Amino acid sequence: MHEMSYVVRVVNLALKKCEEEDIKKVESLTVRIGQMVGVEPFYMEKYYKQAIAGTLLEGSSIRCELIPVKVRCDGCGNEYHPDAGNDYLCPQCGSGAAKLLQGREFVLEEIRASV
Amino acid sequence: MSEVRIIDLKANVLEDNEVLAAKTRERLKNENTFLLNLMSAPGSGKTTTLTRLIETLKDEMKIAVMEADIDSDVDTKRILEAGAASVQLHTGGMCHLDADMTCQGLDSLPSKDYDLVVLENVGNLVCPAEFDTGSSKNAMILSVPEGDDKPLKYPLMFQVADAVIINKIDVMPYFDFDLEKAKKNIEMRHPGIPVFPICAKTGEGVKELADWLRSEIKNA
Ligand SMILES: Nc1nc2c(ncn2[C@@H]2O[C@H](COP(=O)(O)OP(=O)(O)O)[C@@H](O)[C@H]2O)c(=O)[nH]1
Ligand SMILES: [Mg+2]
Ligand SMILES: [Zn+2]
Repeated sequence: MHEMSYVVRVVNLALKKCEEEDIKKVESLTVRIGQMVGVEPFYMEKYYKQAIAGTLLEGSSIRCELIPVKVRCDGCGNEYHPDAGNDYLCPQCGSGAAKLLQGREFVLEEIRASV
Repeated sequence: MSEVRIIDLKANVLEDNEVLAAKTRERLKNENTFLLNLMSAPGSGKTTTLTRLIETLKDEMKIAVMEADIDSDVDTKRILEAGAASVQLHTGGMCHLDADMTCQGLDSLPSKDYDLVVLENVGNLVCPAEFDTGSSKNAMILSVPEGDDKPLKYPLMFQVADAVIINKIDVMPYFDFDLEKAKKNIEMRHPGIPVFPICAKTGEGVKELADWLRSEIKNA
């Protein structure tokens, strides 16, 4: 899937921040990923190792926290997690129209630097 | 030593792409060029639909197609034969296009020479929905063999689309596809979105689709 594309974006963003913050060595990055994005942490970690070779991030690790998809039903206001189990429909009123509350984000949460 | 400094960032990883996409939309506006991003699963009929649209619209406007789907050399030929310009975008095996790749394609045309540019996105219903390409409008094709419940399974694609084309209506009798159910499922995901049932093979329904596109271009 599109893990490689996200890894490249995360690495570039982290390198830019390291330069701004004058960081020379990094222990780990933490990213928060909405489940709607559909990336697998296993592949994120695998591609991360490849992408950081030869950069100042070399030797660091990436921690992926997955954020479940949550929506608010347009029909009745109920907040629920759409999934295959409820056919992506509101379990309270059956409507499929809803506003996304969380689950699409892809955030570089923090950099843990060694000093 | 092993002291740790934590930099709290909370930075949106897609921000670069979103900024470039917004810039691209601005640029297209200045050039008076309309960019349609066409998405679907592989084989739903993107290229066939495009050849029909080109035949219908080519006397009114200058059209170019950017081919990003696999088999794009074959598709490029079909587009040229239909009467539009065509370039191939090199996605390097990527499952979607982003604003950067789209911009490179627009530069190579160059886009200012055209009234309508269509991006035939990579055949995939998940990843292309994630990345804003900078397009003026997005359309997606749902073909009959894929089933009338597809809008339930791929909510994001139907949310980012501005129009849904239901293609291959000629084979409806052979599939358990209920057009009214499909429309209801689409409406549920995206209230008010226009839906165009077509048969790209014969051209049935393409006129209504072309009318929609023409009016979107006029109002862009
Ligand atoms: N029966 C039928 N087949 C179609 C129709 N439109 C396209 N096809 C066929 O579907 C296949 C894939 O079409 P193509 O336009 O290449 O799809 P793309 O991969 O999305 O660009 C081809 O064999 C087309 O001839 C249609 O309206 N009806
Ligand atoms: Mg094609
Ligand atoms: Zn409800």
